[in-house]
Amino acid sequence: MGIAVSGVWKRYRLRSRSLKEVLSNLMPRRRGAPPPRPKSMWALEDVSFTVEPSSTFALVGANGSGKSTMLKVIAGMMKATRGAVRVNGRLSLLSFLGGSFHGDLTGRENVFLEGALLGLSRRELRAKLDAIFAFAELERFIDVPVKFYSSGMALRLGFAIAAHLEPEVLLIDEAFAVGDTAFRDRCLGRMLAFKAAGTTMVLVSHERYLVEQLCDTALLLDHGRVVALGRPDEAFSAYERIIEAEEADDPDEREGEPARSPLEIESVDLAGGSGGAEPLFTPEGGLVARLHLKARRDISGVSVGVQIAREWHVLHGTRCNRQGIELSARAGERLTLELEYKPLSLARGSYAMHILVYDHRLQVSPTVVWKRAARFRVTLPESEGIGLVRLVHTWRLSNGGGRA
Amino acid sequence: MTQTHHKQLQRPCPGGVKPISFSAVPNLSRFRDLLYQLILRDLKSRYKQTFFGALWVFGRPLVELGAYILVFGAFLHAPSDGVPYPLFAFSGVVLWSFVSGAISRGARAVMSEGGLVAHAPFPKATLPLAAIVGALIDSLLAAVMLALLLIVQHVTPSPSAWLLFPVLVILGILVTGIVLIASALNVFYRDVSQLVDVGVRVWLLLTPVAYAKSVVPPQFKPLYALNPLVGVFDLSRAALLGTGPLDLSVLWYPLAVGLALLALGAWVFRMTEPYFAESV
Repeated sequence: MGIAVSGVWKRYRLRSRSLKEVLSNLMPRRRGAPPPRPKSMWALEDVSFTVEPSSTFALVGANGSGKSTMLKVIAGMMKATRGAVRVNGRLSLLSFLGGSFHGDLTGRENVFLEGALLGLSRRELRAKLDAIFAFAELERFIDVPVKFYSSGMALRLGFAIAAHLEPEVLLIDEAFAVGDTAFRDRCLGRMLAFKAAGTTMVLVSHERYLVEQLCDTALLLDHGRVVALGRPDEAFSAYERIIEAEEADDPDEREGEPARSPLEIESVDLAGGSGGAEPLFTPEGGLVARLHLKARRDISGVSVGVQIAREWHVLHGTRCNRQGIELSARAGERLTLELEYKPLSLARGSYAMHILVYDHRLQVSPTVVWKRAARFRVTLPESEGIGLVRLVHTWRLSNGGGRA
Repeated sequence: MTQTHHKQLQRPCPGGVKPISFSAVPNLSRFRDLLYQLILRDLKSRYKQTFFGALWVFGRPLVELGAYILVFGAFLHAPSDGVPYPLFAFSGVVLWSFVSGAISRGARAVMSEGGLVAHAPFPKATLPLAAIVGALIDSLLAAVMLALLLIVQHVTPSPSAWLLFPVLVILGILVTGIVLIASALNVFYRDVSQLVDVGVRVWLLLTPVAYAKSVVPPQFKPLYALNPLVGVFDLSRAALLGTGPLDLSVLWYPLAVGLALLALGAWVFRMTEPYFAESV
């Protein structure tokens, strides 16, 4: 029930020919006129991989990296420009859940239509109808037109139908990025059940922890090319490096109103780790951040904050007034503020530090933010579990026959 | 683990490794189920949130018929082969409502479901086919009106009325061929649906719907006969109302044209279907 993708290339035409274009091509092009826009682009370039039967595979990458295109080529909805895809088994693609719903029709009527689109027969649907509505927790709305459903309800119904498929190969396209926590938990539970039943799954997702929990293998795509293929954590590390490289190219990292800011952040240096642009720290060694500041005018009661972020998640934020430090200075005066993290309770990975300036201690949103003012990496001596943080912890066996 | 194994044994996958492509390997029962649901959705949704509801099925042909009776019957005195003009016109209008309804709805069927086409793998041919069946159902309901009109006018349908069935089959083949071509090409060029709308209007005027074939001057007759619908409409009227001799051989030409269009349409649709998802 596996999938074999060998040497797949996919080209998109970016525009269709029109009479206007044909006519303007007949005329000589004026000098200095902008060159014509590109006619096509490669969405996938020489992508090959195999998904073993009953395994779970993740496609990872930034928006526009070709993940969804790859999924559609596997599903047979799109034809590869070159190369071949072989799928063995009954296939279902989950994307656009509830996309076929017609607002004027009732939930029941829509279940039959969406089910037919997903490949369920009328007999199967009739047998499963109650279970579908129970799963979606919409029993009371079974005969209500779907236009009166909230978007979350429609989504739940869409997923409930999908959850009652019995595919051998299941392709999932970021369908669960929306919805509340309880709904996502149920989606995850259902996917684990598919996995336990031996369904081969291919998942498109940005969510590291979902992928690391579910998937055996991950493929990282960047601009249609395979960058990494291996364990999910390896693929995500490679993904983080791509994101960092792109962020490093971004020169303008200050947000807010620098002109109104009471302080100028001149530089940040990190002590306690190795040197370099991205120093390496250990949890035990700790980290000291030194912020070199300069007052732009006479100030008093000013507060500075520091946030530690990984990808787009802020893991921790603090500001100096919480520990009683408020900054006062004359115009032009220089200040150095130190912040120590010990132990540094972070998991292995790459991190960025944001610096924030507040006019006074009651201000909620900062006047200026220096995004990614510093970068660092954390390494761990032991091989650690998953998660965003490393909580200080100790295992003990207080009773029984374990070996110390 | 054993349970999983058991399941796989119950669902053997013949032929080992095979490419999944719903257009290449049509799963007939899946296709039929989906077609049925699409037709049902169109039927159920069309007249929801309308005051007159399903009465519109009769309303539309009635209004059209009124206009025909006024313009062609009362103003122009169009020849109607000796039957009362309302009856003459209505038999044409019912048949024509199938042709024009199926073509104009069918040509847009794939495009109007762009979201689905881009996101769900399913046999796309169900979309134009559902539109055609929808138009057929409308026309059959209008035909009920025709039957009532026959009773009111004390006209007994001629015993050859069964010929309407082969006529309808031929019309269906013709229309399906055109719709498959138009709906597929419309994905790539929206000009197609515009062209189809204009074409359907011109075709109406060139077909004996509101007038009898006898009005065509002799020098235009050979050219006029190139329209495959001429024989179909003429014969169906003769069969239903007994307006003339029954020459079944006139059906060969529209049948041949229809089969050629159907073959071409199936080929065009099949070749272009893998590119729908990226072009809608």
